[in-house]
Amino acid sequence: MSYKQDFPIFKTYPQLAYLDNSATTQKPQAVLDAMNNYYATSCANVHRGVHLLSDLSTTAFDQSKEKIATFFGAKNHELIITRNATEALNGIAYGWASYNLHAEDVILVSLMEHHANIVPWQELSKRNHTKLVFINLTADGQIDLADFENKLNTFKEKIKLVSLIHVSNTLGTLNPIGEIVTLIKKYKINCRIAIDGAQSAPHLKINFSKMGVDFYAFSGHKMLGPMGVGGLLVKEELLQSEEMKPWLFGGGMIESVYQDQTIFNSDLSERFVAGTPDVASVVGLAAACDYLEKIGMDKIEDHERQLTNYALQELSKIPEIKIIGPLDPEKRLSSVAFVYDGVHAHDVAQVLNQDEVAVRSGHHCTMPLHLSCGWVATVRASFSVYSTTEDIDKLILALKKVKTIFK
Amino acid sequence: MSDLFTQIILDEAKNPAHYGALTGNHLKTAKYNPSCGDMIQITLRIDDQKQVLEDLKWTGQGCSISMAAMSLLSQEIIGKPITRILQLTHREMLGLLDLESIAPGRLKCMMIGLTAVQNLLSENQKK
Repeated sequence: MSYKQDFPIFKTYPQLAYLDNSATTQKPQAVLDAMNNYYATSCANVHRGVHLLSDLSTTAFDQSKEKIATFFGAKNHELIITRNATEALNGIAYGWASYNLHAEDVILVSLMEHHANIVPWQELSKRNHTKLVFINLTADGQIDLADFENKLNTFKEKIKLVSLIHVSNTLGTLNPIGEIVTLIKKYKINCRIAIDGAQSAPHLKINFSKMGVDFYAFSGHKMLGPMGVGGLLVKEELLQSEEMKPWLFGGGMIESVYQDQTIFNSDLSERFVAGTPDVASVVGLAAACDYLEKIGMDKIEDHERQLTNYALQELSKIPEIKIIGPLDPEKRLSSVAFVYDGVHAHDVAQVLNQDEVAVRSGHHCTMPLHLSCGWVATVRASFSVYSTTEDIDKLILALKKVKTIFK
Repeated sequence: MSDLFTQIILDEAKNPAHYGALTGNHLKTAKYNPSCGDMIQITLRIDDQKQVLEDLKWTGQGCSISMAAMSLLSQEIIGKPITRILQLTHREMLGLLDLESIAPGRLKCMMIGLTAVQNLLSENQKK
């Protein structure tokens, strides 16, 4: 199957093997049309006017938000629209951790985290004097569950948040969130659990209501939606109890404002919308959810698993290449990163670019992981719904040229 | 694009000039390129009376562009007045590498060495 015909970028670049989908995905015509149509027929501010366009815009926004929340198995008011997963994780830090975490409280993350799930906690610790503790990885790039248990046992009730990446953007590792939730319960740790879903939302069926976690962050642009929109899913009870508070203030999110105080909007779905939202992008993301749903997330996962397995198999035939992350295909999802012996990742990527193969090279915003493993930089090929085995064949063919240039 | 891996760049990256570290009296700096993980460490000595760069040695880990650029830069600036080194721009770096242009994604690779040297020299001037 090939969905490339739905994506206008491949009309512009028919030969392109776009394998940089973990960075961002291309957008289907349906998403572009939905956004264009919104601006052409319904553009006005939301929740503010009584005229026709304001109603159309408000309806488009509300229905799109509802659609996105449903896509993730969440209630409408459990979805806070953000710019991306990074802003969503910062939202947890500002709207929840700032108020609920205090000196010596522990936040547990893993060594494979993206910078977006490290830096907000380092900054928080400057304000609240919390402690950031890293869980070790196994040699093949999985969360070391024995070390995790050790840390649960060591820090016990001091642990207030466990924040983990669902699928590693560097190693490709699919982390066993179910097992992790079970272990937290086993040790009776009364903490909140946050998941960075930037790399799982595009590839897996997510059911937030059954995940057993409190927060889930995602980016729209990595799941065929436009850039500049993403979301933070927050468990209803945290919103209702006001354990989670707004972290952006202004118009829209208020009920009444006086000279000396403000009452926040009692409607939970509006309390976190400060200022005019990016309605067109929310409409575009809803169209992306529709597009993914029409194909079916299970089918997408299967397709990408096949591609990942094929890439693992073909890449492992090149003697200069060392694949990083789990070699067991069951333990990873949708990307394969590697080191090319003796040639810097940027140089490898540049050679591939000559043959219209687009990959990512660098440290993929996971510097602590790269430093701990002693990699300067790695090359990553990552897949999406429209990726094909032909794309991987082009990658392999182009990789063979690296040796001829860097003798 | 294929013009990027010229013989000059490949040769310089493979056999970089002034590679190593100065001993004795020297200034030192390290610079990290956050986009690709490249790292460069520089040691240099200034002749305070003449205000020229007396000597420089460097080590680094990085792509062929960053390594070749630093190698060519080191050959260019040793013995030159500090004021002149501080005036060098990306245009002159392109000239050293014998390139007409460089893609935005590789600009930082080309500039990492020069930026590190200039930062160190201007910090030293402020002292």
